[in-house]
Amino acid sequence: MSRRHLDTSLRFDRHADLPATRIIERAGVVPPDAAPPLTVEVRREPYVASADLQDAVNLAITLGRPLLLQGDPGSGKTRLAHAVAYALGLPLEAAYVKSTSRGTDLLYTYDAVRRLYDAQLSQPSPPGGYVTLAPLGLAVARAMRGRRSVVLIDEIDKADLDFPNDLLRELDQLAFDVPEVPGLHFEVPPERPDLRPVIIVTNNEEKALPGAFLRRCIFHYVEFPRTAGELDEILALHGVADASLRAESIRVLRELHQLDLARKPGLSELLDWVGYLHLEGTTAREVADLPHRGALFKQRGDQVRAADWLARR
Amino acid sequence: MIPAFVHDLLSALRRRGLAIGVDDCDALRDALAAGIGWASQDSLRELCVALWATSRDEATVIRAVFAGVGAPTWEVPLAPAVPTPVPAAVPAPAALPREAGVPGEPGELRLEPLPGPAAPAPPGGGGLPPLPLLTGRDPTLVLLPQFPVTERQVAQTWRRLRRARREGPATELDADATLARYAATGLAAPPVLVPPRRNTASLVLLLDRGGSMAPFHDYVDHIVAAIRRAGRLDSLLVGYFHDTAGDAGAAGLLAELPDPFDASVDAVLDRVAPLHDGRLYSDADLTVPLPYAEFLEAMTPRTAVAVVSDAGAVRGALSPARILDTVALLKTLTRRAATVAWLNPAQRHRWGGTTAEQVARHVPMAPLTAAGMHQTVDVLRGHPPVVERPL
Repeated sequence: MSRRHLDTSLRFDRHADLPATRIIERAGVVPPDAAPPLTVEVRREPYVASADLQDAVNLAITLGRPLLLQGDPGSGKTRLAHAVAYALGLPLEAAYVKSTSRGTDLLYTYDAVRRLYDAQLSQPSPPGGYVTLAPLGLAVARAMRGRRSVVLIDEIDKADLDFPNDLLRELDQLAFDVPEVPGLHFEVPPERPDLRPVIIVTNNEEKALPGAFLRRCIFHYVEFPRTAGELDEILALHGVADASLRAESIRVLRELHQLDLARKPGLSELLDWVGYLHLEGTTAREVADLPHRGALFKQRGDQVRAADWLARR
Repeated sequence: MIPAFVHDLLSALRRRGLAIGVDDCDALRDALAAGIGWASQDSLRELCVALWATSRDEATVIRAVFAGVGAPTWEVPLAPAVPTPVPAAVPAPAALPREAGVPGEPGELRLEPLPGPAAPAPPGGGGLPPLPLLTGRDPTLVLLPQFPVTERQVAQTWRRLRRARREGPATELDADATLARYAATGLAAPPVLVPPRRNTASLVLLLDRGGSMAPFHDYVDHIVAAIRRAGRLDSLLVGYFHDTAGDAGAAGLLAELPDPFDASVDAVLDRVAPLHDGRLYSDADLTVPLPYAEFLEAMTPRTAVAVVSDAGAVRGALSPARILDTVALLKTLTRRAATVAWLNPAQRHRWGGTTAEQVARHVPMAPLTAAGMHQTVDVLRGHPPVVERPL
C-alpha cells in the first residue's frame, strides 16, 4: 500500500452539540461543475458513540482507510454512518450490498442495452451518456468538485467473496476508470487528503472476508453497552421520557442477559420494546411481567425460556 | 529508535499468525504522527487493535499479547484537543512520553525527530530511565489458546473443497448461446440465461468425542468453527459419537478369525454388514441424538465425509471389535458413494500397533495438521486415495 497523506482537517466529536436538523448536500446526485450543490434538510440521528468508537472513526478519517464495523445484528452499525455524516455535515452515500452485487456496482453502472438500442435507431446519446455513478463513484466525483462525502457500504459480507477483492485498488487509491468509455477517469486528487470520502463498512460476519481487504481497514467491534447509565442515555435520546420506565426496563433487560438465551436481545430490540411500552403508556411496575415480549425474543425457544424465568420468580 | 516492547509485540503477534508487515507498522507510525494513541497505554493498545485486528478474536489476541510485552505505563491527563500538525520528519514511535503526571506540562508530548542512520542514540530524554511500574496484573497470567493451525490455514485448505455446478435461477448471460441463436434465426430475442455456478460441495464431519479425544476437544472445535465460518460449503453437517458410531454385531465374526493373534480382520471383512442403525449426536456433549436416518439422507455421491478420531492411537489400544464397528460405518458411507477420509489428531508414529493402523489400511488417514488436512481435502475432492485394502 502506498504511503498516504494524513488528514487532520476533520474530526468526529461525540460530545458535539448538534442542532435538531441541518441543511446538508443531497446525496445521490453530483451537479455539474458550475451549479451549486442541491441541499436537503436532514434530521439529527440519535446516537451515543463510545470513546473507542470516536477514536476509531477519527483514525479512519486521518489515515484515509475504511472503517470496518462488526458487532451483533441490531447493535447500531449502520446508524453510526448516519450519525457521522450528520455530525460532519456531509452527504451520506449509502450502498446496500446484495448477494448479486459486483465490485463495479459500487462505482458505476453502464447501460449497454440502451446504448445498443440508441445506436440501432441512430438516436443521439443522452446528455449524461450511459454511465450512472453509484455511491462510491458519486463520492469520488464529488471530491473532484471539491466537496466531501461519507460512504456507507452496508453488510459487505452478503456479496460474493470477490466483491471486496475487486474493490481493493479503488478503495486504496480512490480512483477508477470506466473501461466502456475510454478516457473517462475519476480520481480524488492525491494531494488533497481533506477531500477523501469517509468510508464506513459494516459486516455481519456471515462469511469470512478476504484478508487483503480486512488489513486495509480500521477495525472496530461495536459492543453492547456495558453500564446501565449508557443504556439509559441511549433510551433517553430515543425519546423515552419516563425515567422510571427506562430504569426498570434496563434492569429487566440486564437480568434477561443473565439467562441462557439463543439470541440475547440487542440494542435495536430494546429500543423497539421500550419505545412501544412508552407509546402504550406502560408503567414501570408492569415492565417486570414482560409485556409484548415478541419485540424482545425472536425465537420460540427464547420465549419459552423467558416465560419459565417469569414463572420462577 | 524503536522501544524494545514494540519489537517484542510485533514478533509475538507474528508468531501467533497475524501477518503484521511493514505497511502495518507504517500505518501505526502515521497514526502516531497524526497525534493518535498518545494519551495512555490503553489508547496505544486500542490503536494497535484498530489498525491490525480483522476480527474479534484477533483483537483479543492483540490485547493479550500487548499485556505481556511489558509496555511502559503512562497517562496524559488531557489529550490534545487539536492534533499536532504533521511534521515534515515523521517522529519515531520511540518517543513515548515518560511517566507523565509531571506537573506543569499537562498533555504536552515530546516528539523527537527520527535520528539519521549514523546518528548516535539520543541521551534518553535527559532524565532517569523510566522505572518499571506495577500495573496490578501479572502478564504471565494472560493466557490465550494457540492452535497448531490458524483459522486462516483451515480456511485456505477447506475452501479447496469445491464442486461448482450451475444451479438456481438463471441469471447469468450465456453470450455464446445468445450469439449462436441470433446467428441461426436472425431474430432479436431475449438473451440466453444460465444459472450461475455455485459450490455444491457438502461436508459431513463425524467427530469422536470424550475419552482419549478429550485433550483435542478445543482443537477440533477450533477447526470445525473455522470450517463453518470460512468453508463456503453448500451444507455442513456435524455428527458426534463416542469411540464408534454403533455396534455392528461383530462379536460372532471375531470368533471365526483364523489367527487370533493377527491384528488384521481381512478374513471376515467381506461379511461385515453396513451399519444400519447407529448412535450419533448433534451436540458435543453427546446429549441430543442425531437421527441416524437423517444422517444417512445426507450421504449422497456429492457428500464428502471426514471422520476425526484417534482410533485408539492415543492410548495405544488395539481392539478388533472396534475395527469391525468402524469398518461397518465406513461401508455405510462408501455404499452410498460418499467420499471418506479420516483425520487423526494423534501423530503418525503413534498409530503403529493400534486400531488406527488397521483402520488406515481401509480408509485414507492423515494426521490433523495443516499438511494432513491438505491431503484429506485432496481425497475428498476426488483424488483417488491409495489404501492397502479398500472397502
